[in-house]
Amino acid sequence: MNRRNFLRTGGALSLPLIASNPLSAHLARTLRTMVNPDSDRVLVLVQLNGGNDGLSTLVPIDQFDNLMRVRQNLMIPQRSLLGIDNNLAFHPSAAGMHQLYQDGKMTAIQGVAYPDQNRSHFRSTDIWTSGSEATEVVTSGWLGRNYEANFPDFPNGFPNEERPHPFAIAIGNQVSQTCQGIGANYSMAITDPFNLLTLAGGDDTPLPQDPYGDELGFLRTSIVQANAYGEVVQELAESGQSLVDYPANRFAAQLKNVAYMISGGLQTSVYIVNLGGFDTHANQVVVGDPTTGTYANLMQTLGESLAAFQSDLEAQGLEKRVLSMTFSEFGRRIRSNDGFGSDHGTAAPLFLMGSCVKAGVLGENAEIGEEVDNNEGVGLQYDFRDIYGTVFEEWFELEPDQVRTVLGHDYIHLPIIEGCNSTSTNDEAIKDLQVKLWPNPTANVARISFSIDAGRAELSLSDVSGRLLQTVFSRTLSGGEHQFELDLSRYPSGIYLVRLQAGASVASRRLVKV
Amino acid sequence: MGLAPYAGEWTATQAAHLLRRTGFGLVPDELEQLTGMEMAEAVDLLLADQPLPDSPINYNYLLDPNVPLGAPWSGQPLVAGINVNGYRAQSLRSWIFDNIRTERLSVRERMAEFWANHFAIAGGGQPQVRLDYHMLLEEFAMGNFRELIKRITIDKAMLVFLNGNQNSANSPNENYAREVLELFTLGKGPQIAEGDYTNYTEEDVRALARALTGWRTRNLYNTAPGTFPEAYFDARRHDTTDKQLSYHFNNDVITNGDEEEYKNVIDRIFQQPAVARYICRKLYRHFVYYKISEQEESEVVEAMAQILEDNDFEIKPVLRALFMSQHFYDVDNQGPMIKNPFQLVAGLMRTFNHDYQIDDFDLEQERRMLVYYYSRAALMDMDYFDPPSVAGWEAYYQAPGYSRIWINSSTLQERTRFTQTMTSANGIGVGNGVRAKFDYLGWIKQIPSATDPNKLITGIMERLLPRALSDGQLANLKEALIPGLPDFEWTVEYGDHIANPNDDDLAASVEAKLRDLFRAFFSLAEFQLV
Repeated sequence: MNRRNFLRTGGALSLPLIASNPLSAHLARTLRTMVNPDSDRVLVLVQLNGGNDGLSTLVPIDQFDNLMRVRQNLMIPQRSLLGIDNNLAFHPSAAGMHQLYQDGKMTAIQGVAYPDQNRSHFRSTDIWTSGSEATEVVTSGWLGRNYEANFPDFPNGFPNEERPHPFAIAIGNQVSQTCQGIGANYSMAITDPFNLLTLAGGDDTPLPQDPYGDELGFLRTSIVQANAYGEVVQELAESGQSLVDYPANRFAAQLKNVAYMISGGLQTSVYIVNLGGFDTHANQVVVGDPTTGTYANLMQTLGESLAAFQSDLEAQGLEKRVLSMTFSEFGRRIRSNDGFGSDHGTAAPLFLMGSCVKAGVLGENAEIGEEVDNNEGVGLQYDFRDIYGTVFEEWFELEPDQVRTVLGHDYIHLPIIEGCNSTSTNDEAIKDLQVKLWPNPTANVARISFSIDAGRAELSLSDVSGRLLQTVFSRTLSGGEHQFELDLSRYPSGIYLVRLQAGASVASRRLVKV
Repeated sequence: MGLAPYAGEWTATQAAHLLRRTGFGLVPDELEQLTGMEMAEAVDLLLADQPLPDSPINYNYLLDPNVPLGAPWSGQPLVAGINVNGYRAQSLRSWIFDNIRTERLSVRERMAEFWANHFAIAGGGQPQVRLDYHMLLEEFAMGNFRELIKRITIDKAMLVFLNGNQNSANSPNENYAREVLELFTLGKGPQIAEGDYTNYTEEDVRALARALTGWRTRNLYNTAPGTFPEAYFDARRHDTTDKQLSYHFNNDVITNGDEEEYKNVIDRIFQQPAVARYICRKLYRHFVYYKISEQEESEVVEAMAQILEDNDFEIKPVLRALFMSQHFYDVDNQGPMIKNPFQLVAGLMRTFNHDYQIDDFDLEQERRMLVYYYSRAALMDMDYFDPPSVAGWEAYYQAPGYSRIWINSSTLQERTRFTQTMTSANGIGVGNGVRAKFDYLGWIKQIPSATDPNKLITGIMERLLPRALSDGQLANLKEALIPGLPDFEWTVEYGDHIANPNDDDLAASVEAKLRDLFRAFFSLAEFQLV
């Protein structure tokens, strides 16, 4: 499918010309009835709002000295870190995540972002939730398009006997943009499945004892009753259970509610939970004690809650039905600021969790230079749409062609999910591409050599803030060693990022122009 | 209580309350304008006489030989073999929405709506006839109630609807006579004896029916050149005998008055004190609240009725006193009114100043837009030109629920669907690839310091909602705008947009966030209240 068929606008202000959009009908023709109707698999999206400082979550120990040079005020003593393999170590407060990793329940994918990084929260969140290119505005969500393909009439005629439950549930007051279809949003926002009065936008504040309070109470009750899914959600949540203790925080409560709803038998395939506060421009750590502070609290909340959720699922025998995945709009910059914080950056690790992941680390450790530009972020290794595509293919059992249609983009199948009757048979081996880059620094021209298996490969050049400068090539290459020339003569002196992708293998290297 | 004048400070709170109750939504700038006036000045402005609306136009029908596109069809004949009534009927629906859209600082359209309910005519009818009837309601919107009823009694639309045109000396038809007593003037009280409804009896219905005999309609669908629909008096069909009224009317007798007799009928009915109380009770429900306590009945409604009687049934002095009263601005009366579908739909259209697009639409786009709005309200159970019965919409008369009757699971879903559409990225297609939607980015410019997300949200709250929200609700709304982010990120991103207004990607991102925020506002139960 041509990506131009996607619904997009030239920016909201350039009203009002938008071509009518054939996507919905097109998807319906292509995909309808092709999703496994008996699948009871659940995806839990864990949105980390604000842009997670991945270099603090998962520290590349082999880069420790250079990290100390440029972000010393954030750095936690190496001995306090929770080491894993691959020269990586978790933040000491992320013990829960460390445990998940050690138990083989986690895949950490390094350097996840997209080409041509945008550092606006709003814009970058739009890109992540829509699965669009950085250069286009797509108003539907990556999961919403899949629902749209199969249930284009929603919400007309729903719920029905075949589909009695919400397709997706966003915990909170807002539906999730990931589930936005062409028209309707396929997610239902639920703050508390046990108290549906919150559907009417109220909170715990008592109603005033006057006519206004009377009518408001009437309306709130009516709104709850009018929600076609309200009753069944509450009923099934109440019949569900939770068998472990969760930590006492709001994020854990979200996951606990998800556990109740899954165990109660709700046939909802996507849940979206949120943890905010990752926009750590200042006071990310406590001065003088970097193991404490905002970021440590976030890691503790995140890790403990996810670990409790996994234990709960295992205790209830549900663990093979549930895959969890974090995402955040961007990583943060390598160099910290003077306010003991870090500013908007580029790539960061993304974590997949559950009993069906291919446990381990995917991707190389970020390369931290001795000199780091103020704007430098962690370079892109894996395009987030490769993960989305693999989740569609492996977890929701879409055919690759269908995945491409829904994504509106090609993707590379990544070795991140296995077991649990996963259909995965075509995992590509990750191999060392043996990248050599010289001279580095260079005055104008550098050479790159690498060794790959025959297949599609792409070489691109970005600046330190993730802006895509050029795609050197993107085509099929023969197997073996190749050598290319990188001409930097038209760019100013500075640091550049060279990214090579061949199949599921990726390398990202810094190249300095003097 | 009573109608003692409001003596408190005149602030945006009071001005907004007055505007929301007397109009549809809050048009940007109008609040500032009204807040800057004295209360009396503001109320008099809203009550000032306005020129009648322009006639409805032919938006899209190419086959009417007498009415080119864009021209008014009123007064133009029907055409043999061509159904011009189809487009004219739809044009009427667009027209009423356009009247409301373009009205500025006047209570007239709210009063026209009041009369459209009070003198409800259900069903289609010939568009010219419906138009003339509605123009009468517009003309008398704030005028003399008694004169309005006189005109309505012999109006061709009403003569057809309640069978007055079939009412003759030989074969009296009581339909109109009954409704004029039961619904239009006195109201049907409890039955206190066989055929006696407190204010009138069956005998009175029969007597009045005879007094109103002789009125006919003609040329309703005539396509002959030079003929137009009209009502006329046919003396041969008129009952010239005396009409004996009951003790409720002091056993008066209406003697023959031929074609002037209907005026005597109305004048006689209006001598009953129940008339002023009945209509003022309805006005109270229309502008204040549907629940009327005994004290409100005896002090407020009674005071309104006194004013109406003292002013020979002129409506305007009653409204003036009400809109300037302490009672009208009492906290108890701020916010408990459930919006009727027109208040919801037209209220949003006006509040978000959809003129910014509609003024530039071509005829067909404008038609589609206005029909869209009209049909949304109809789906919410308020089809303006087709109320369910002569009694009007249930929400205006059916105890004990009254305006709660607008709300059920079906209408709530329509209300939600409408606001979801108006907060969707793509809005509504109106033809030629044009998407109709609100300009939220432009709209928030009226809010001072909107770069501060807290001020932005309270600014929206003050414009959209009748009362303040709780801190928890405000926090939830901020979550909708900037989920998990510190306040300054809104300041930065919105500031970026202001500094780079031509960066479409930036604008799209900020607007997407605003749509999330407005959708959250529209989802609040509070949003249904005014």
